[in-house]
Amino acid sequence: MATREAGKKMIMLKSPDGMEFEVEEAVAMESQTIRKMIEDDCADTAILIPNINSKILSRVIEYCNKHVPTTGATGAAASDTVAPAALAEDLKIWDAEFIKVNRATRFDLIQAASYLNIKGLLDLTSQTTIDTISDNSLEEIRSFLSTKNDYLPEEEQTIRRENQWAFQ
Amino acid sequence: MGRRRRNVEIPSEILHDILMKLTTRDVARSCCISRQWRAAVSDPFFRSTHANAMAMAGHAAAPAEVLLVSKTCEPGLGDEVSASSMSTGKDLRSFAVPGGYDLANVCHGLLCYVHRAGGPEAPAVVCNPATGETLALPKPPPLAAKGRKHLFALGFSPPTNEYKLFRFSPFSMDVYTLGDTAGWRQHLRSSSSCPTQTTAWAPLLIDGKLYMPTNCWKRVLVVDVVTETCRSYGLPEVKTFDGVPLVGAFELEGRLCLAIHEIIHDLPRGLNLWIMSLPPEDGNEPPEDGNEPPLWEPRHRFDIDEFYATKPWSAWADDGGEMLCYMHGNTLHKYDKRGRPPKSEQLRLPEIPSAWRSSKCRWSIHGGYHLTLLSPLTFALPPSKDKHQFKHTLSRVLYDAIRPWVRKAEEYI
Repeated sequence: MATREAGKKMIMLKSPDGMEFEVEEAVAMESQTIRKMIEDDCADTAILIPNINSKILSRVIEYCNKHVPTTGATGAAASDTVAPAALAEDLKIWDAEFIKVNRATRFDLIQAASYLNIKGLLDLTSQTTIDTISDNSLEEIRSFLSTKNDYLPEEEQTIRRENQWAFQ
Repeated sequence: MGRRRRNVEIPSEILHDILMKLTTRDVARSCCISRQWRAAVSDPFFRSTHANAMAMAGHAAAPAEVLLVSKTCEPGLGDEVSASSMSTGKDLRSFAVPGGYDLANVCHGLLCYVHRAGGPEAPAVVCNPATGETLALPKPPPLAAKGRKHLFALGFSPPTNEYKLFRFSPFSMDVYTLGDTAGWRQHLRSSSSCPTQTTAWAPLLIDGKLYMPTNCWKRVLVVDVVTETCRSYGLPEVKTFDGVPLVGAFELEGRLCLAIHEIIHDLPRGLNLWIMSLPPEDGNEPPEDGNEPPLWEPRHRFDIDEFYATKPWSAWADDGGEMLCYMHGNTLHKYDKRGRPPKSEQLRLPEIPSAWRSSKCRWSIHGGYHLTLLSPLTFALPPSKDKHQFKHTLSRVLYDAIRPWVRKAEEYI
């Protein structure tokens, strides 16, 4: 946990399963949805985040903590001696590790990123989907997305035939 | 089996974002995933947005492919067109075109068909070989001038993402922007040089400009699709053989490349490739007396010792312009520019139907094709009020005529 500095405004995020997370306002405002709530003064000090359980919310906060612009506030990692390029590279490696989760979690993350409107996280989660679609068979894509094949066999055959040119 | 698997639907905005980042091939593949994906991909609005994004992203996102288009005609059955990408070896969708229609040109992602003998007022048909959809375009206005020589060509302008159908005649250029409810527009032209149809060189689109030969093979007409302006430039000397002009054209390094047969003592000797540099546009029509800055640069040469006027031939560039190909009858010459010196190879292909000039089976090869999911039906105009009114009246009359009878029938049941 980052050490709390005096003068930092803190926000309390609550998950529907009753957990509370105290985060810096700047971190919470990585989410455009929360930013809008704060700017419109719809939020006191505690915001209930519906639909996102504590497990996912904690991961989202972890992501935002890492990605909040490092203007000397978020801890020791953001020192002035680190070149921006190296920092970006470091962040990329961190992102790659972050997204190594099972498909249920990944999908919850996509939904959370979408609801909270966190562009970076949405890009990161959807990029893995894009890479999967480009590089894998239909069966693998379905299993990655947890999507059931809801076509009748003959229907699927027709659709595959129509789009045969797109298959390797 | 036994393993619990959630079936999850992706929220539609996320699905849309993901699809927008996929290549055209991956989008087409992904509609096989599930019904939800298919519904998203089938949406005509999505397809045109995706096509626009791909066109804006340019060659890196969707490299040009070489398309083999063939048409078989069975009397009484209509004409069936099949297209395959020679770059991937995959067949695209086949589709039907009305009898008597021939391919005018391949333009970006669409194919344009016009009636062979229907005259200048016959409506053109555009087709997307990736989706198999076709659309008949509005009928062009009658040609006022005497002499009904004309040529149709479909153009595409990447900055505005508009497809435009042009009709050239000696004194006018008519233009129709696909989907435009205002219909055809006319530009009068002062030049008497009219583009002509050739089996070896269909109007070619390069970087928002259409290139086509004019009559007598003396000049090339260059039409800017966005501004709808045209200029003509002199051609290197083109010979004819048994009345067939010995010139083909394709895009190389973003410019027009002409493949012209070299004939010495009435014998074919080789194929010379010329590349064209457009002079800077100063707004003036270049003089027609030949005093033009040098436009043409000889680039490559194949040795070729045969030519049969009765066999089809094509020249094109593949592999991003690194492999130059020339096909004549069932002989394919490949010229690999990457080799030092460039490597040339000659291959015999299986016998190709010799009846290509009869109406049974015709084929042609076109470079510069870009896969797109854009539906030609996006450009369909809403039915005119009269038509609508007529349909409404007809259904009313039919309803009134049939309904009492149906009611009577129901009473018996």
